[in-house]
Amino acid sequence: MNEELTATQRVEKREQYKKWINWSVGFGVVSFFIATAAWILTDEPMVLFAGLGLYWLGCLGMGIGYWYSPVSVRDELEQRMEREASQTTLTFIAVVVIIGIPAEVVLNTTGVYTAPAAVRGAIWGYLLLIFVFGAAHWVAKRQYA
Amino acid sequence: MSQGELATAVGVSRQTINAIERDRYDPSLELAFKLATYFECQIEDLFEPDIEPVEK
Repeated sequence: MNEELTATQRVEKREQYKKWINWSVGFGVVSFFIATAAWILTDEPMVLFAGLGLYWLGCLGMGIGYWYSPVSVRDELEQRMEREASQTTLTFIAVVVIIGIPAEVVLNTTGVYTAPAAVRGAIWGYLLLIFVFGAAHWVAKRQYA
Repeated sequence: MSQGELATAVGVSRQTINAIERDRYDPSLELAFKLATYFECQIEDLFEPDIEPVEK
């Protein structure tokens, strides 16, 4: 479908779907906050569930926007910036895992120090993220093989 | 011509054109071709290659 659009139409479509995605996310988040405020005032759990439902509806709208957009929602410079930010994030995660996991295991096993559960969860969760990256990288690599 | 008009003509954001003009971003080959087509010139007329010599 991309080939059928002119450059101007691509920009228009990108803006149109971006607007839809932003609106969906805004709707979901604002609904959740309003529902939370209403729950605090009323103490009625159904209000909170309704807020959660609207939040998920907003997330669904965001997903639909990304899925059905005939052009990439981000232009090439935005994609480049996102890639750089992702690389920086991955480097941070890798450093935390490489340094943190052996330290956590040694300190915990010897009983010298037991890190709080949240910190341990984060470190091991980061390791899981690295496995997810590895799988995603493998899938991407297959496209170029 | 404004950056916005050029951006719309080649299908990218104004920020992308601005970054190219300020030499902070090298465009993709596709965008370089579009810009060259738009200005009716060669890519080399718009961008100076900053590459090491290639040995044959």
